[in-house]
Amino acid sequence: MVAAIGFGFVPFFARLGLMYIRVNTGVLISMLAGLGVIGVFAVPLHIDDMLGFSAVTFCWILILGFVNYRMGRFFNYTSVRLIGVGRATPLVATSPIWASLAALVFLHEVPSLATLIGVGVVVGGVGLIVSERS
Amino acid sequence: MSYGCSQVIGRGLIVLSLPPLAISFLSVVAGIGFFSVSGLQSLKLDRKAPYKAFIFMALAGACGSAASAITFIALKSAPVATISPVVGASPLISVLLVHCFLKRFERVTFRLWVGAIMVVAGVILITLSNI
Repeated sequence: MVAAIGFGFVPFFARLGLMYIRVNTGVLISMLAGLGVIGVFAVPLHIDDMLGFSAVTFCWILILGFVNYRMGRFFNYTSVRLIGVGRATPLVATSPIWASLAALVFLHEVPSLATLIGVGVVVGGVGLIVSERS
Repeated sequence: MSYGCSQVIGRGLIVLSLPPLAISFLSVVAGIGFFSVSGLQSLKLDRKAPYKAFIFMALAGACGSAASAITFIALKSAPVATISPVVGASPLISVLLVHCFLKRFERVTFRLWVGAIMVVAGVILITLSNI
């Protein structure tokens, strides 16, 4: 529950900050702050693991950093700035659908009936949100 | 789409028994590296912005990372089926915060509430079906 509240505050604070600064600045500041927080946990516990990662693993982590932060967080904050938290956050929350689609394409994971029903419910919710007049 | 793809990549790394916190830390470092040029240029242009903007963005980043770390820690002692739905409901908390504190800037209508609840319910269903 604490984690859910923490995640819930992220777009709220971002909305407040992005009223005064550019998205690029906001993303950089948030990543630096986040690095400090997660470093408190990660470095003492896993420094030996991190130094022992293979080159292939580092390449995948670079890709992950680009996709998740350079693209994901940048577009997330841009959408919060442009259309507001109320519309942007539920749309960003549809990421499991894209994860399921990527898993189908690249990992050949066939979605279950429950997944397909869930996709339908999500699409309905997205339709309601984007059809809302501003 | 970006977050969805990153989940697939992250899952692939965790399957290799790599510590999730270490992956998160290094991916943030990589992200900062990719963002350093445009971010620093933008920071120069925003250097006269009010301090509270930087504090709010730092809080956003700190909350996100702390929540990720707490989720990883929680996953060690509780099943994913319990953790994922609770964490997946965080968009509703965001909408509630906006409704309570940012009424001047955004209007949260009944339609938006219903849409957000449908999205969260669908995501929880997808998450639980994949466990």
